[in-house]
Amino acid sequence: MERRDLESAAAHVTYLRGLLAIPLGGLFIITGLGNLGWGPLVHPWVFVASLLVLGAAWLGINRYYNDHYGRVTPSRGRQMRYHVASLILFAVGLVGGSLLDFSFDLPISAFAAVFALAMLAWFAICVGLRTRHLIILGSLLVAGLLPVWGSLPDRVSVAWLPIGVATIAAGIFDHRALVRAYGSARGLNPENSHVGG
Amino acid sequence: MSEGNDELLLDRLIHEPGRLAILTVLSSVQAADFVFLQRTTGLTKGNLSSHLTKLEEAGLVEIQKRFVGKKPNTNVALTLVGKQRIARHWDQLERLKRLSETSVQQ
Repeated sequence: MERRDLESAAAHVTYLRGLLAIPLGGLFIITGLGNLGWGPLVHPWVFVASLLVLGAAWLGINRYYNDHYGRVTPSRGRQMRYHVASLILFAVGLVGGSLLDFSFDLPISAFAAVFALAMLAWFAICVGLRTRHLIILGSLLVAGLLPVWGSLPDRVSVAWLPIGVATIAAGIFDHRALVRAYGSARGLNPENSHVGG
Repeated sequence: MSEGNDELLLDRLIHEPGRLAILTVLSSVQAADFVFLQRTTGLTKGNLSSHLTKLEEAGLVEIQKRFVGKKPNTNVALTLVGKQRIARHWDQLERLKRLSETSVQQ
């Protein structure tokens, strides 16, 4: 029995609930498409309805994880680190990156690049950086730094699309890591799983 | 037995692999439920239930039975004594490991 493996697994498992990244990535994508006035998303009510669907999906996925992988309350220190890192890095990615794009007429997408760096920092602090994160978010960083964004009318809105795809991809790989470590959802019958029952 | 050796006597209640896994997992979180402990320790439902009952009787864990939605849920957390005992146990294991490494080198 490896002490560090058990402690690390227990501390990190909350943040490997990767399928929760699907509605989050979906939110990023519809934000971009909505801002670009794509298809039905030009109507505000379609955007609001999409948000409701994504919110319902998030709740359903969260319930799936609670039922099949259990509930855990991380230590106070870890919770604090998670909240502070999420708040600061999301603000840096969102505000810092988009401000750079709005302020300077660059041929790159500073928004996508800064968001990729912010997400890499978030994974390093909260989950532990893995090769899959480096590949997915490194690709986003490279895509943001390619000098092909200059001709686009709204670089920030377009950048939401690869950011959303990268978020979903990282989440799916995190979920696969969770399943590899703890088994598939079918591997455990959670019904009446309690002491004395 | 000398006082020094007494300090290295392992707590048999904690040293059992299943209970050591449960307490180690709980030492890195505030609280966890039964399903989470089953997943992380790999114990069967019956074994986990039995170990938790023993640990609760020894005052090392607090067990809270509750309903989440309409489903029964068992939430488990280490007590202060449990935190101290598991920390001391791992410290003893580390010291024993160092002692055996030193003996082999000599």
